[in-house]
Amino acid sequence: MSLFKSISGLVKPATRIIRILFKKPMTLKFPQESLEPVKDYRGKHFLDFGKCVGCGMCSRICPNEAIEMVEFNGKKSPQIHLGKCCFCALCVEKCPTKALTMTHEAMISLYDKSLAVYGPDKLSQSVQNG
Amino acid sequence: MSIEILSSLKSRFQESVFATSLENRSTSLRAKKEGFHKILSQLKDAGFDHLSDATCVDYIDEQKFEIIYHLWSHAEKRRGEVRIQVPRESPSVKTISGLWEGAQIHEREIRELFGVNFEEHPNPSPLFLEGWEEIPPLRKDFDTREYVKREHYKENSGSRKEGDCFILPFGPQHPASGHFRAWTSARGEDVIGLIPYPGYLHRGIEKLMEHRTHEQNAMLVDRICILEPYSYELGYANVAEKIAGVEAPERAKFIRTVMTELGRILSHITWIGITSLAIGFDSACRIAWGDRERIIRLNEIVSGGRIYPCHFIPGGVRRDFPEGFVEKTLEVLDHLEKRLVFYDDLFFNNATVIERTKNIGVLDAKKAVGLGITGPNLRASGVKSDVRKDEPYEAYPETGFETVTRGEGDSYARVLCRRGEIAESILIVRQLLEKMPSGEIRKRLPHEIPKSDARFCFEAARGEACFYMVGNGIDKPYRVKIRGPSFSHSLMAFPYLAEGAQVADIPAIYWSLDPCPSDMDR
Repeated sequence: MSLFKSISGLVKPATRIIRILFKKPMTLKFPQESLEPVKDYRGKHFLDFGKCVGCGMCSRICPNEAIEMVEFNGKKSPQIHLGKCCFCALCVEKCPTKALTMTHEAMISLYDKSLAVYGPDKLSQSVQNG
Repeated sequence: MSIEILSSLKSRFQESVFATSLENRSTSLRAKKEGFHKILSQLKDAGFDHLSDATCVDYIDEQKFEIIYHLWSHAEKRRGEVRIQVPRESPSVKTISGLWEGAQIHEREIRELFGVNFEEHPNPSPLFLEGWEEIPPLRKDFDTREYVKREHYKENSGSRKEGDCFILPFGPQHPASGHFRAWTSARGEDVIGLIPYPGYLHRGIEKLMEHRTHEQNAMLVDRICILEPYSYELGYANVAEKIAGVEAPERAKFIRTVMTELGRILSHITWIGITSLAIGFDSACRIAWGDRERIIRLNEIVSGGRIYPCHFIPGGVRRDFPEGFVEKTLEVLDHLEKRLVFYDDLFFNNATVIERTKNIGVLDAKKAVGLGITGPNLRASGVKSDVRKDEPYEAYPETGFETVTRGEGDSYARVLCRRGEIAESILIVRQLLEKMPSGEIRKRLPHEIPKSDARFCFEAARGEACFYMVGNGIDKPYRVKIRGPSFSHSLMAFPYLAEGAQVADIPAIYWSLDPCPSDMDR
């Protein structure tokens, strides 16, 4: 390698990086600020309990067997284990009455695994897509 | 040419060859166990210089294993396959690693997962499973559920047998190894040998797929390679369509190709970041991963998922481009084009990067073909091979792009090859967005998978990847074999290149090959 090339190959990257110091950072100060979720984001589920007919399509299609049909308020409704869920939205796609939808809620980390089981009551409390 | 090979093979090995077919630039023949070695050797002489994959299928009803050798001729751009059947009781075949060096790693995998013995194999040690005492796990009589229930929840199930060799471990939790483990023996700074121990990320995806329907599998294949899920989604959708005899709508094909190419750029930009990290240039890593975020954002807009889009499905795609997506994509492409010039200064022409990679890990064309190397790594050695060009699929026939090749074969050539590919991919996406047709985006596939088999090869960011699927008349596949390009790269090329190198060069060599441990282990 010629001397000129090696010197420019060392100086250029350094000047590039120094210039970046004066630019707006690419990162956000999480959790004070975070990315705006997109319109069709696949977050935590929301169950419109009144629309659910208890057909069990969601439970049958779920690739991870995360959905179980349980008895609630006199009819069968889905109970989702979000620890097993891969958020593929196949259940939402298959739902014949559009009772299951997905919200923008992505911050669902928990300390206790057993709390990740969302029954029909908890699912219908989620904030629906804005 | 292929007809000539077939007829000469038939006349010479009458008793060994009993069925042949020739279709769509692909030669297929069934051979008897006794004469198959000679047939393969003749096929190799006839130009089939690349052993793409070796697959084993367990036909438990017939008490037979079928072993399929998938071949490819770089010169003639032809596929070939040789199938042999061995009895399930005491299965044993002669190794072909004398013909294709890269075959030994495929044979080791089959030996471990199916229990087929390969006579005269140079290194028949276990690959993924340490201290395995059950029946081979990919056999049909192995019950995954029962095993998981029994073993997974057991106390101390993580304990492993102690190995007897340790000198310098590389991975599996080293920042510059991905999740790949190798034991490096070194004398001073010189590496004497490197033994890879894969399996840290082995999830048994091939077996899991046997328990899932098409739609469910389409969600699972994302996990084959975390860095470029779109390529594998495309491959799976295509192999499922091929076996069902259904063609996806034109618009779906375009959407799939656009997203796959964006995925290729995503993967290569991620790679710039990791390579910089591996050679100790942290700033470039942060900058590259910042740009990666822009493409992830595009994934998110179109599919709703950031890393795992779960977007393509056999028969088409699940979601169409939303309003304003094309403009946003073009914006990102403009930005990336500007950034490529910036990366030239920052990374590609950086004197330190050149010093760290030039003339390091030189792989010549003949050796690379013999080891089964594909993709940018092979093109860096001067072999013009690209599945997108050789067997155009999806919307690639509509595009015009250059296959980026270099001749040096060293780590720096591999680095530059990927830089060229980012530029070409940007070009492809632009062309496709211009020609984007309108129409429906999804066709329904029949639930049952017909009783036949299909193989589909595609160019992933790391090289040639393939799906081989066998159907059984029910809604779940009987067997799926996945060829991940990194399987040959990590397990054959990396030990070969590391031998004789300096310890400090190991990360540079490893990342110049851009292996993905998760597509290696599957």
